[in-house]
Amino acid sequence: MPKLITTRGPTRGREYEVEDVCILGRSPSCQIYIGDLTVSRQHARIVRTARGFIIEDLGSGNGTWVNDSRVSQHLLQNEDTIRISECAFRFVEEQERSGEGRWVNMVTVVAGSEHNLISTNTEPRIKFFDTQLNASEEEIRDDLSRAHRMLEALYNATNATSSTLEPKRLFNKILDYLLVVFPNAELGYIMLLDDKNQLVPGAIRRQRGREGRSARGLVISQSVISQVMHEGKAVLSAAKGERDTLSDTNPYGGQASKMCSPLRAQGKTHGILHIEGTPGGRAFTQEDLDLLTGIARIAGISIVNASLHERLMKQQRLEQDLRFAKRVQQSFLPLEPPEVPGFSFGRRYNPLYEVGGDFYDFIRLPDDRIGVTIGDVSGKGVSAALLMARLTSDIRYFAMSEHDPSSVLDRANASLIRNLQDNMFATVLYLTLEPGGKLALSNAGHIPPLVRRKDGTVEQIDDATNLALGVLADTVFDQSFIQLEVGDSVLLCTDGLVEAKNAIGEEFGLAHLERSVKGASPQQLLDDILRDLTHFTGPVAQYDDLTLVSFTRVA
Amino acid sequence: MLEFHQEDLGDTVVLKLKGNLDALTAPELRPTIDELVSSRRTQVIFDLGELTLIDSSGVGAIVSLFKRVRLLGGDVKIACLTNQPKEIFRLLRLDRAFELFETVEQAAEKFKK
Repeated sequence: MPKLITTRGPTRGREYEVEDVCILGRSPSCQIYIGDLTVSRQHARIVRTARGFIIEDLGSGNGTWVNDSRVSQHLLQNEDTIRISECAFRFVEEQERSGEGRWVNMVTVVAGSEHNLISTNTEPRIKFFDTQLNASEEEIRDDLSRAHRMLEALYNATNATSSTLEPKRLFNKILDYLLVVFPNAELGYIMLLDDKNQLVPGAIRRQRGREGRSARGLVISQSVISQVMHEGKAVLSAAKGERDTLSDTNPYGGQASKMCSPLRAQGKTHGILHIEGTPGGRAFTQEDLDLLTGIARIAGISIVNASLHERLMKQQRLEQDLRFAKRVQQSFLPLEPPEVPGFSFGRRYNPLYEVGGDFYDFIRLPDDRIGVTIGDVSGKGVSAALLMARLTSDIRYFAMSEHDPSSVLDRANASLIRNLQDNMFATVLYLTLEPGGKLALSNAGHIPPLVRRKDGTVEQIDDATNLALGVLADTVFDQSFIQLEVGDSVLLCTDGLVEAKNAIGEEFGLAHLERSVKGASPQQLLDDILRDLTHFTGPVAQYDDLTLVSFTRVA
Repeated sequence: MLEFHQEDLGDTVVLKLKGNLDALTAPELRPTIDELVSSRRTQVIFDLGELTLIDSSGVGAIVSLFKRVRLLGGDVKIACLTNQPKEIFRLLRLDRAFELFETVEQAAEKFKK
């Protein structure tokens, strides 16, 4: 954000940040208040436009002055002096040199080629003693000082870049360093390939004291990009003689000499390093190009290192979030199945991801009943874990006050609809068990439970299956009842089991599952299913969590 | 892989999806959904005839549009369900929220009534 620094007047030394619109005047409501009777209530304003910041006089009595000329409207340049009555402000456009290196003007890629192009291979040509035997002492000294300058520049570039791992800061450091090495450069910028293989701006820096030229749009020709990116060559556009097409768009006139070098590392070109001379100033030479190439080599390697480091940090943060979510989630899963007279319980919980969407719960209810929940929330990762945690506590809470499973789901649904992100929903099966073997269940879009009778027959309880939770506010939930006799078992699962696939893409499926439900105890039953499942899928990686809960009436 | 295109049938928008609508591709649909809601399109038909696979994130995307269009007083109808997506819609009992149709024309006809 640019700043206005008061250089004269009662608030001398005070700095103001210039936002999108900023009014200067005597009215206390002005962003920049000037307590001077000769100043109009609303004297002038500064407005951000596509071209830059413009100052406008708002019909003031004494006028608005920029650099000693009275203006009605003026495109502010860096270091302009604004005078209003007896007060003066310095306009400082800081963003160019700030740590962010924000782009005021994007680089425009233009079609066509550029005149006066010299290109060079990216192996830097450091010629230490290129001198003939009969060279004069002067020529030898020149050569030596050239070699010395180059070595020193490369050594400094290595020092400047090796200690920085934060990409933005690194880009700025590289560019600042280039502007020191090439004092005739006006600006330098870096563009890098993004994930989609598009060149996108990385950073831009301008020579100190020349920031005011920021209104000039930057252009680069397609032919330069293709030579640099595809052929891996560094190019120099000397811009001597005839006007080149690029500088025609330069409102300041004159021709800028330009150099562009690939940023290469690990055998790949990752982007470009581009510097431009002052329009009409000294053109870059072949020697400059060699030096730029050498620095670009070092810069390329540091940039790749920095982006690897950044990715690693991001990954670590993500993993930290996931570990946290996992702890939250595990705190909601029962440690041990309950010990209840008359029933024996078993469960298996295999989250595929660090944090899965599956969950289950056992709830001790009043009047010796027990509540059992199994469910699956949409999505994966942290948001799924938090939704699961919420749903688990909702159901525990409603289970205490509502007797019927359908009423519990009804209230859980209402609560979810009120509070849920609109693309999330959950499937939940909730059932209650009475000591006498009476089972009441209601199902919100979850895989129906299987009941294995003592005689080995297996049936699916599908008649109380309703719409999933969190979809529709006025869902009506049905429930159904089953009488469990001693020796009868029930299996609850999530879709990770039914949708598990084998090598030829077949699903394990409900039919297969029904055949696997043989065991007479919960543990036996779960072991049988997992053995059959492993046998069925073989070594094929599965794409979903797998949760199983089973119980048998034992007395 | 997900391909989708949007077609206007009078006041009704038909969103034709092709390929997989899952955790990977559902975010691609998000801007289109936001756009439909912000331009207050209240009659939407999903043509799922060429949708080969849907997962919970995919259902989430459709449910998201459904909830938001309903808040505007409109509706989302589903046409041409087949194969795995049909099975998922059945399992989640989504027919209790969405009206399902054999063809886009039938769904569009229903909007006219």
